[in-house]
Amino acid sequence: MTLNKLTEIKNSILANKKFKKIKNDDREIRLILKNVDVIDPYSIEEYIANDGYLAAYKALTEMNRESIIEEIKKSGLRGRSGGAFPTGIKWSFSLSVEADEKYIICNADEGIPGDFIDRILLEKDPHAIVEGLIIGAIANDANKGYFYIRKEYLAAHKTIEKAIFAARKLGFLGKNIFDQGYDFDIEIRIGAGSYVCGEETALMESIEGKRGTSRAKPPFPAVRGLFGKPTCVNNVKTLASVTKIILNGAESFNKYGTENSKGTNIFSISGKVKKPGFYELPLGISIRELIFGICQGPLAGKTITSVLVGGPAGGFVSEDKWNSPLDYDLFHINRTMLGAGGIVVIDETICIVDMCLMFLEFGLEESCGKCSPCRYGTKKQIAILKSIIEGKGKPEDLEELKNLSEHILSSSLCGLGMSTSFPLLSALMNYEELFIEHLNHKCRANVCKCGENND
Amino acid sequence: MIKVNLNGTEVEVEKNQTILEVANKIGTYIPTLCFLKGVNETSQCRMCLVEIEGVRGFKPACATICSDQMVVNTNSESIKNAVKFNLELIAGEHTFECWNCPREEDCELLDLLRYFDIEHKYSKNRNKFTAPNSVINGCNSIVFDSGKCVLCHRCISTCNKTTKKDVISFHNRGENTIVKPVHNLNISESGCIYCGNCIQNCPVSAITESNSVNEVLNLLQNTNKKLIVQYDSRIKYFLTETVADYSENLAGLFQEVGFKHSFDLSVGEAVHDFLLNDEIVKNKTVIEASDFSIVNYLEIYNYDLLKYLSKVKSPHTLQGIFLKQHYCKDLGLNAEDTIVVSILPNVSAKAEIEREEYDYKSLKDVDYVLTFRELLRLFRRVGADVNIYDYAEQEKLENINYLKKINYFTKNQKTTTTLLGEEVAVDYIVDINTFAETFKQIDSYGYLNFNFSNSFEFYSGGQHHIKSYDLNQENVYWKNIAKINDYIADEEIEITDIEKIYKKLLNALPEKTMLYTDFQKRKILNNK
Ligand SMILES: Cc1cc2nc3c(=O)[nH]c(=O)nc-3n(C[C@H](O)[C@H](O)[C@H](O)COP(=O)(O)O)c2cc1C
Ligand code: SF4
Ligand code: SF4
Ligand code: FES
Repeated sequence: MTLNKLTEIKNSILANKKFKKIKNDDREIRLILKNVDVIDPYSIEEYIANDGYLAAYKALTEMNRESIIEEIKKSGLRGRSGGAFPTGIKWSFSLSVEADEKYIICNADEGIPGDFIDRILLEKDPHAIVEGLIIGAIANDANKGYFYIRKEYLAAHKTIEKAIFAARKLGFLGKNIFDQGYDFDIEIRIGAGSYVCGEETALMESIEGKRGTSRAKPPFPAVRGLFGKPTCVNNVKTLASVTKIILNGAESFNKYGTENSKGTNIFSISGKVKKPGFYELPLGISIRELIFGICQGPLAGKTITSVLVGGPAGGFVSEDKWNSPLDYDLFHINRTMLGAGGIVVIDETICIVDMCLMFLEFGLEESCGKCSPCRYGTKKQIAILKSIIEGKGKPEDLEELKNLSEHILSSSLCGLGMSTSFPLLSALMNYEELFIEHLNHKCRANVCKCGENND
Repeated sequence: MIKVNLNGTEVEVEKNQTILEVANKIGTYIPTLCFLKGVNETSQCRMCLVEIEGVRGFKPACATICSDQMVVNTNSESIKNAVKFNLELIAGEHTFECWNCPREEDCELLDLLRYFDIEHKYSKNRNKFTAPNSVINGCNSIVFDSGKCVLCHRCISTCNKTTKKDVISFHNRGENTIVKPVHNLNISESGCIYCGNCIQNCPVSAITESNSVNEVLNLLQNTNKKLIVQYDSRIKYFLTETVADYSENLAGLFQEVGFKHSFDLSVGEAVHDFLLNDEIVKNKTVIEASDFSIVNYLEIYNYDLLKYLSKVKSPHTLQGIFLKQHYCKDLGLNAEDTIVVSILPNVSAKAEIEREEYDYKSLKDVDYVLTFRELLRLFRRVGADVNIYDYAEQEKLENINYLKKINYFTKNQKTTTTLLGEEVAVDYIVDINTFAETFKQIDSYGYLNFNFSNSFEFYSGGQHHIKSYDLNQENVYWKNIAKINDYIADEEIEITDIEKIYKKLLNALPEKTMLYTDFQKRKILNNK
């Protein structure tokens, strides 16, 4: 496959079809979402017509491992899964590790309730991810890649499968890809419906056919990962961004965003606003602008009381901090992680204490059961919080909840245990008065049955 | 060499050492629960957490490798609190039944709870895994009790390391996580060979030998049956190790609890060796498997080697036959009214005696098997004082001398080899993992005494001390072998005497075939 051939396909498609531009809001900047709802996801030709596979071609012919990693570093891209680890640095670990086989995995296990951006990309622009995986493979010197897709994403299995098949047919995957002497192929693995299998080490256990439980780190996957070999795990959105960065250069990406958080991010907003949905915006936009500007504020007659950023691994942000920018430094202000970009807007009809309980129950349900702080601690938190919600709480319970949360946070083996307490901790920090009201048998939102004569 | 700062002290350490290793070397205590060097290094109990300067959150000392200039703190307030919190949580889920627990107070969890003075403050949240729901008792040897389980993963790793099979595994997730035989199978269908290594390594009593103490006690106290006990001599080392001032008057103790007669296993061992010798001369290649888990292993995983398996019964069942057929008559007892109880270190024997091969005209060769710690329990239940006993009577117990004579012969029959400087009375110690290959190599020698590489360690019957599992684990192991060897050495006796006894024993039997089993037959049965 030569450049001419790629151009040939492109021109033949462009001759018959004009691609429109789509945006959900005028303020959006669509870098990553450019092809979404624009091209036919089943057509590799239409993807090529939009400069598809040019980046992978460029990576193979004009660049080498070092220069790809350098470009990604320059772009300032940080992992879009929530961990926000700089992708360039992650990839550079593999430079110094010697092994006969290396792997790269695309983490498409999107398990966070309320998040759906990975799904949109998988279903509507599959080739961008496949291409990102090819570039990642070159940078990490991997000859084998995996897609780990969550079970429920049936449509995504199909689009990705078709995309891999089409790419293989055109010689973008398999032996000697793009006729450049490099071998790389991709296999799909379907999860079995477990949130923790999105955690990279549990994901690798799952691919190996074992029970999906997290492994202790170190050794880090970059040293000993899948089947004991060095492995790089990246999120769907990260890989889609990589494709765009290599195609258009680091500057096209890092001109957006803030000092420590470069580029655009896709925010998915749900809950009590007029215009929920997903929007690709530069990192650093304020919560207020997002909620009141782009999402057009609260539902008629209601007031927004809080915003939950980052889902079950994030936290509640109180009104005084709504002017702070949404970026990866949010943690330092509010102990909240931006996570994968999921934002839930809460108004007075929702009880935050009750929501905390829901997240804890989610955490316990999804805990792999391996380490004791997460397995036992979350259970105890739930017991205490339940008694508060049922109006049987005692004042010292709040202190106990805080202590338990801190303990679980610092002692757990993997990110799941470390993060399940975040919503509760942030709620205790920002909305302690709500908990105290519950102790006094009152629930503002009228959700909890904490009345005095409730048995 | 790199430098590490541990609690303010500079320590020189070698590369690739864990923080726990370094701490152990300089005598700093770090609590552990799930860690077993070389066996289970999954770092999931979070007991050994330490603070490392510049690192977010706590890190497990058992798995964290030291790096140069690392500053580690193991005893800060926050670490102590984390450990306490963790123990409180674990205690909150544990079904405490220490008074009737097989651990006999020698329990790693109990030790930790004592050491850190843990308050049982989550006791009101009752554990959902309480007996009888939690107990899986599908075979004659091994019992799972998830009410006691702390989910440390040791048993799973141990099973995998000893047998290279995954017989045990975690099931479910979150708070419902539970350890069971794989795929929710019953133990007897799971591929378990009853080697008992998981029992040995469990820090609590979540996997134990199945309990026969009550039945034996009932027979002793409430019936007219005559009970004869025969014990593996290694019980003495077990008692010496677990009971301070152990009096060594075992015969006296047995009498006190109501056993009519007591023997060690030397007759059985001697006869076993005689018969085995004949077999070796005839067949050239024989796998000797006194430990029944080896028979199980071959039956389940290595059919084709079954034909080499010795057909001679194991020493304690052979001796059981003689006790019922010969010794009883000598004493004027009725064999039907006689119960033979074996005291053995291996749980597999519990399954062994239930098999039909060990049955002659519905007279069982051996009726009950108790492990060492079950025996200790029996003593304690009836209030027999294991510690102080008047042992002036000891010499009068004629059967001890009578049996010792044969013991010498046993020793002469065996080839001894030197392992790590110790003389050991087995021909080969074969690791289960390399079993098939090793077997091929040494086929020409004709005689293979097959042992799980660590079944010697099992002499304490599932009981071990925290100390045995410090980083010197291997030394303890070899010491035990040496101890066993010492015991076998004894005074010289005339060989002709022993042959006489042996012949006399054989003549007393109704049928000679009852000394043999044929596991080939069993295999076909299994196939049906
Ligand atoms: C409990 C837990 C769940 C996770 N689930 C996901 C997930 O569903 N999708 C994902 O991409 N990353 C998930 N991660 C993050 C991964 O462990 C890993 O860091 C990520 O795939 C790295 O990708 P990135 O560097 O591109 O962000 C999860 C982490 C934790 C601790
Ligand atoms: S395992 Fe330990 S703590 Fe648990 S009941 Fe037995 S002795 Fe007590
Ligand atoms: S059964 Fe024992 S060894 Fe196995 S996980 Fe439970 S406590 Fe650990
Ligand atoms: S002993 Fe280190 S985590 Fe269990």
